[in-house]
Amino acid sequence: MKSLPSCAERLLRAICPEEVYEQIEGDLIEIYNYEVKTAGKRKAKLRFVFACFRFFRPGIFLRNRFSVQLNQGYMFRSYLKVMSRNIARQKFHSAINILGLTVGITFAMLIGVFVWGELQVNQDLKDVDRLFLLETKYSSTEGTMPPFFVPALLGPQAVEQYPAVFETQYRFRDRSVTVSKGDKHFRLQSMIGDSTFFEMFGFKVLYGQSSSALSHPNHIVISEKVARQFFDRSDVVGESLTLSTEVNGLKEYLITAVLADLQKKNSVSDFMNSDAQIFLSQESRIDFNLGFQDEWNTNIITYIKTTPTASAADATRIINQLLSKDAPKEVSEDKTIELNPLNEYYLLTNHGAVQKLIASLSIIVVFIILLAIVNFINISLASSFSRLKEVGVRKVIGGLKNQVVIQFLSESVVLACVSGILSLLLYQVLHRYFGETLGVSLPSLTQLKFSVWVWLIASVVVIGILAGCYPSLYLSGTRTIESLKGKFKSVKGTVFFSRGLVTIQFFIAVFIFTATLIMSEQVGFIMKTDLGYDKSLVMIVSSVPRTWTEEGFSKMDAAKREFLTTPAIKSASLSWGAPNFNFSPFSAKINHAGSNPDEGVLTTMQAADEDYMEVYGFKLLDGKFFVDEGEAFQRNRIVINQSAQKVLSAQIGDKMKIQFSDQEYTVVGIVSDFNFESLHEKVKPVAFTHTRDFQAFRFFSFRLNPGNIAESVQEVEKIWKKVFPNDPFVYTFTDEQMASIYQTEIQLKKASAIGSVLILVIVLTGVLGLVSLSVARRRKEIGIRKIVGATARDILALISGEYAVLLTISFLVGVPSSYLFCLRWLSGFAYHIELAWWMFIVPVAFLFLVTILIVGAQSIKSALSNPVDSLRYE
Amino acid sequence: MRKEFLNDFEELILTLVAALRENAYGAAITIEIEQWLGRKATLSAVHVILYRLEDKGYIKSMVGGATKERGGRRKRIYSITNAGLAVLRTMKETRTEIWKLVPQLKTVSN
Repeated sequence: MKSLPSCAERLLRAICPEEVYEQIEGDLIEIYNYEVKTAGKRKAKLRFVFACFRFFRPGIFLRNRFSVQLNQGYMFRSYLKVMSRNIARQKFHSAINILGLTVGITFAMLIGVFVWGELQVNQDLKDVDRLFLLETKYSSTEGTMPPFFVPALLGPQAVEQYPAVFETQYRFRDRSVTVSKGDKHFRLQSMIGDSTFFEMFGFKVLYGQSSSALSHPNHIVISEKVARQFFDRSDVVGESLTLSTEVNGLKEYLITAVLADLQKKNSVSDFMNSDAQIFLSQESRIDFNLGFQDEWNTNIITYIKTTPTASAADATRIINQLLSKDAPKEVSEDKTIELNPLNEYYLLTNHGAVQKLIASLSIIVVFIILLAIVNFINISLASSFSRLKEVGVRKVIGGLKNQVVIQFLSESVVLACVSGILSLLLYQVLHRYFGETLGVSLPSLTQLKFSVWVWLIASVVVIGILAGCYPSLYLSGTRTIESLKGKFKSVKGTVFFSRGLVTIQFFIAVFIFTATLIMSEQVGFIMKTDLGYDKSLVMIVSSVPRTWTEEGFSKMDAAKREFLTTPAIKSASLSWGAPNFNFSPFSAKINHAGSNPDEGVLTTMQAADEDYMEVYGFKLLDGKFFVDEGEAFQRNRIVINQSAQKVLSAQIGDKMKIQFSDQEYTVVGIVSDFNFESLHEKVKPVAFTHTRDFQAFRFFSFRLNPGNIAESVQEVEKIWKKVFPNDPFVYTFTDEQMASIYQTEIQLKKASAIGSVLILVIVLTGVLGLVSLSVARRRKEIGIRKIVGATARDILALISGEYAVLLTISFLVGVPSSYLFCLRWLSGFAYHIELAWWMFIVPVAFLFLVTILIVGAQSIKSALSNPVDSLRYE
Repeated sequence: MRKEFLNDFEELILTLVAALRENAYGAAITIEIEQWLGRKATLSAVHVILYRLEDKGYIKSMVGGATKERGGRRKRIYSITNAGLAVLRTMKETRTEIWKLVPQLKTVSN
């Protein structure tokens, strides 16, 4: 044998599996010997080597590395058959399982798609991970300006001086502008800003050139939606629109580009829900009375994009260095600049309202899914009694433990998939209704992105596996002989386990119930609470032509007289501010004339005419609202609210100085406190100046007489068309405005109300199924108890007592935890309800009663039945 | 269920296993194929097919004795199972049935 080449043999040893190597080698040697005889030694040797190499084929070297198992497909067919028989036999329990999972998955889909949409906000902006919104943080406790205003020179200077850190920047101020073409008039939100707009955010340009679109003062860029509004087509580059400007009256603007419809939500064109549709160049600012943009002490909203290599921390440090180095001292002294990443700005702005909403909704969804899974596990365990023999037989005729596990897992996955398909149908039916309830539009199934589908399918499978995991392990783990005899291996173990699960279900139910109740109480409280003014029946028109000249004022006076001729309107007022139109609020320091201006009190400035108090129904505490009845307008008068009076300790007749103005103002009236902003905030000191002193106005407010509101609105519109033929009629009602402040809270309230109803349904059907199974299993026990003297009432107490104990335990844990949770949630509101004991007792008592009723109803039949029926087979 | 299918080489080897009885092992089958059909069969191909037939349950194997011309290595002796015999029989019968449909002329005229 020494004559045989060893390298071929070594190869053979390397590739052949251990258990066949000896035989292969033997065969090769035998053939070699045979060939030596028939074809000669040389040829035989060559063929031997060749034959050795021919063993390098998958059939040999892969053998027994993959185990080629029996075809499981046939078994799956059998599993499916057995499963469908089981479902048909236990219709009630299968229905509970499928119902619970379907409800859970549908709700999870609705909420999940909503949450997904919220998470996608801003993600379509170009380089969103490098975009930042600059925000000012004031070192004193109260800022004079909203945080998103920063010194106008900061952005351009940063890009110019540190090109290695900052790539580009975009600054804008907004204006609401009346835009006309022929006899079409619309009130549109505009952004007046730098020409870097397109390259920075990557908004899609449909027509026109993005590079030169905003390079000229008379250029305008519009969205496709606006183009269709005015021209009924979108290719409108070269056409012109007439804008009603504040300084230069009506002015023609040339359309240089059309943007593809802006993705619904983003924090640039939809900054603070402004929904801007037209975009003007920086040079147009003069038309709109906006300050110079090359000064440090002008304020502006600034976005900045860092270079790919720069870190956010470095950028923040550099921009603050720049501020303290270059800006004048009065601008830089009390502030630091923060960089707010745009990819989380939407979630975190407004005290993280959206993020909290998403978190709360996700918790509810996870809870609902958990409850459905728990139901599934409990009912599977309780009914596993009837499957035990099947498992035993399977094992006796050679089924492996793994196969039993796979059988039960595939059952639960199939059930989850059935529920998933039902949920898809339900989603398609419900998404519009649910979206309306939440005030958002949810996409239909066909509009869902591919990644959403992947998530969906993956989670359905995971739900199926989670639901089937414990029951399948438990069933497959029973000893074959015991399961054939029909004995439970560890009855105590499972009973304890499923009781624990029921307790967790009740705990979740208690938690969600009380939290939902308290949330709706709080939301109701904010909606109903006395805001210090009468918000019903007040209509605000925001499309007032902004001609802030003497001529404009006299035109407004004439218009007001015209409006008051209709019986629909009780009173009318022209003003700068209105409830929740706080996009550009204005604050200034006020001090007593002659005292140090630095010690002035920061006060929210409002400008209104003398009828404002009547329209909004403030209470006058002292003095008058600008003028006495019949008195004409007098210059330099202010009216303050109670908070301002307290901090300023001002009296009627005091002379006051207001920052930014060299005039002295006389306090002529004090009104009670009122709240124009969100109840997250405390009431601030407010001072009114007269619109004529302030030289600007934005809103007409009308108090309507009670009656047919729709008719009244038509009436007002008719007069509006007569008085202002060139301006659209855009109005809201104060109560709608207030509701929009609390949008996230209202969304949360509605979603959690739906969620808690679903939780109730799932928990109670689960209990129903469990009780019916345990009653069926204890038939004989109940029979014996009755024979030895138990009454029907004893039997009822026996079965409901068990649930009463579980309920009590879950209440003891659930109430304190929801108490703590609600306490934290409420602390986010400056004005909130006090937690009262009934808010916990009512939901708990309700849950207790309903559960006991259901348990009682299920068990009463067996409690009343004749023991002979259940015992006659013994 | 549809009929189990074997390709011609598998069928040939299965038939040889049945025919050779206690002498059916890799080398012997390879040599038999050469002698019966006059064509060279690769030993590795024969082995792969033997394993495959064994996986399918048509043949079973046991380790047999060693001989001198094998360099003292043991043989793996294969024998046909009932399932294998049944498949072989069905295939042969099917083929005969089809053969009966062929017109029994001496030559095909063309």
